[in-house]
Amino acid sequence: MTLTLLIIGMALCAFATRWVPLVLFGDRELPEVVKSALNYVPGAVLAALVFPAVLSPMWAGGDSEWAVPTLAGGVATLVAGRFVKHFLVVTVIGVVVFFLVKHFFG
Amino acid sequence: MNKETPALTDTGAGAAADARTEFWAGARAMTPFMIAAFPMGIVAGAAGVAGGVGWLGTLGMGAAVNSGTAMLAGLQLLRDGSPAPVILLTTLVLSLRMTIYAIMLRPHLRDLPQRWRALLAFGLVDATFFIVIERFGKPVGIRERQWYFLGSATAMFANWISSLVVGMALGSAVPDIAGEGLEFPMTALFIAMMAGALTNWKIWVSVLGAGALALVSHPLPYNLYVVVATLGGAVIGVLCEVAEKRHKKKTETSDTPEAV
Repeated sequence: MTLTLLIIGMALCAFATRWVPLVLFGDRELPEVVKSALNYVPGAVLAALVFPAVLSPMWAGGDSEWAVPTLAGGVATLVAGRFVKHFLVVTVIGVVVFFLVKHFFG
Repeated sequence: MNKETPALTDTGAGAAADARTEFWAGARAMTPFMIAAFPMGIVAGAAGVAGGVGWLGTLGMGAAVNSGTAMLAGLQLLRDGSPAPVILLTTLVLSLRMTIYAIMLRPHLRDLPQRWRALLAFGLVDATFFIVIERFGKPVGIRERQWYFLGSATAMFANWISSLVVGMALGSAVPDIAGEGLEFPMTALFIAMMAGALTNWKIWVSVLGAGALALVSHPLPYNLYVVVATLGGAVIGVLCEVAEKRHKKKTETSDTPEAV
């Protein structure tokens, strides 16, 4: 019962954030400075998710066997992404490097 | 705003076929994301069963948050015995970037009826946002936009639920340690997208700034670092624009000093 309530609560939290701008205040015009700030959101949100995911295993005392593969795979993906345009190809390159490093050095 | 062509507003057979084409185009565009996100869903499904929320609880929570990151964070907190308000606040904070996505998508969906907007908002996830916003950059009518978005969102949701089911079925066969290994494909895909977004020096500075902010603010509670770094990165981008404008003005005036 508590779990059901918790899940309902989580659903409300997860969807209020999506619904409010799209459904409730769907017609207001945004100020120019906000519009130009939004241009930087895709890159910034990706950086916010990626940097800790790649670097924090290393900082967690260095005892994680995933620290080095994650860093190597992350850097390889970034470099590949600068030269190859197709997302899936770049991702596969990164994941292959990740597992190779894990296999040989991990 | 983009004007839709009159032919597409017809509710005839042609329009229906067009909606179907857009729906599948949106779904197809998600292929790399579905592949990369699948392992994370497996981890989440297995973690749900292992964490003692059961089959229904895992599926319910998965559908409720529609997000791998929020689901895994929630399960982790539940396992640590965190109180409900902490779990709810974490879910809320992790979903705040969806608010920013929704604000960015809003002008493109303004012409839709409310229930359509509510439906599309439900399916809004990271991957859908990045693909849909790129598509919306091209001049397409509202009809194409709505069906493309719906196709993309449906594909991601179906993929997410399927991956959870596979994870639950595998259960304890998914070892705990595999977690980090199975989450890496999604991280790699995000890095690939980030690399593709680096198109000028201002974005470079903003991305590096956001990354540094995320690392520094990582210890904050409720996963606040995502919001802090995203907003910080956006502000840094605007500051770069201001600096660029000022620099341009300065070089212009020094080139033609007598014009003043």
